Amino acid sequence: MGFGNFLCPAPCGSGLQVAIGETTFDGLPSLMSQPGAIMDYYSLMWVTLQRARTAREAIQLMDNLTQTYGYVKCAACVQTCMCTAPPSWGPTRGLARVSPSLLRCLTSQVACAQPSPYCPPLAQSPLHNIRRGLTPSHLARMTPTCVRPPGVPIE
Amino acid sequence: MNSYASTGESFSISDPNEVWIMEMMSKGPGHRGSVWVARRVPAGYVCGHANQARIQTWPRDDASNGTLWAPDVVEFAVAQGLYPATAPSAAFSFSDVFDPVTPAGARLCELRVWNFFRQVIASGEEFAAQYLDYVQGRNLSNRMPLWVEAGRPVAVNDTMWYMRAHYTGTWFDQRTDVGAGAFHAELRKRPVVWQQPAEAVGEQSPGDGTSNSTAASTYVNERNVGYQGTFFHFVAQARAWMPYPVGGIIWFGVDDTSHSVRTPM
Repeated sequence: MGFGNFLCPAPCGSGLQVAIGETTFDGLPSLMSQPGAIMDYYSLMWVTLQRARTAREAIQLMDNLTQTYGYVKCAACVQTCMCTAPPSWGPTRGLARVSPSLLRCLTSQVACAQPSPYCPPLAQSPLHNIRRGLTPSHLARMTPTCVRPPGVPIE
Repeated sequence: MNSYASTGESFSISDPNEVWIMEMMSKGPGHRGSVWVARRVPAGYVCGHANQARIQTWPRDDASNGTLWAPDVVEFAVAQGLYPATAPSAAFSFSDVFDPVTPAGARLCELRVWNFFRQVIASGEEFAAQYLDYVQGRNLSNRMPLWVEAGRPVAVNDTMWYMRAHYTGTWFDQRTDVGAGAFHAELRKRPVVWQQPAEAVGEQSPGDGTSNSTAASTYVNERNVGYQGTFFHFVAQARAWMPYPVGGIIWFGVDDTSHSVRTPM
């Protein structure tokens, strides 16, 4: 692993033997969005693993990063513009040739590419999508018509 | 990740010498940043989290230096009207304020932690019985401890087996009752959460006017520890006595933890 980060498909370990795992929890809906925030949990873990030498450093850094750049769950994007794969993709076509769970994840990141007051600017950058393995052709296939109606759970 | 209205995050953070659990909540609109609490898992203990905030109160004069928290976490909650200003700060519970446990949170999320704890703890049956009504979703005040003492050393391979569990042999065993699938399968059909159609509920109502025939009841198929909706998973192994570039191993796998191959990276 060297001194780089292990990044695919979410950052989890560094060359300094620091590792970060995560699970999401629902929490209060009133705190769901933070307009202007550019740190989502993924970016937070990535940047932290690049810099922290210990777990304690990681915690302090995650505090510093969120207070400096704002913190929003990427799921905040998901709520407003989460996409599901068009039925035409089917289970065996194109990007959909991955497991349903992977597809959900990828499409949720695609959703971040669509401008929204709730989407952090970082999530709208091409880099953000590329490091999730999404190419422009993937993005081009996503249209506003596949926006998931509010209130429909991802599962 | 099973929710779409997610606002918080539990992080497991480890280095070769320490393991921490950190729970973080966005401050929401009109603010910048987050509030959070982090606690170091004591040596010999194991911790778990599965889409439900678990840190409740924490010591403010921690002699072991094993607790860190955002200095304004209570102040923020008070300002948001989430916590009474008159209540003692030390009684503030992070998870009860920011992510109150619901029946679904207990049944679908805490149940997975329960299963790990009951397997790893020395007195597993006792533990399982003590918190059964909690993870059933019937007694939400019977919260489990944040961590438990492992009954014996936990090997890397053990952690992988803990993550393959399907609740066999417990109250949540899916092989036998009327909802079981073919061949006594340990897994059931999806979805995890489902509702009986309202008209079916109406047909079953006693007709004495006491039941609300339009209300559809919500049911679950258990969300296993080894769960088919998993995107990826990993076990992080750290070895302080080795050079760092080779000491750390990420045992990485994709999809369901029950069946997938772990590749060391």
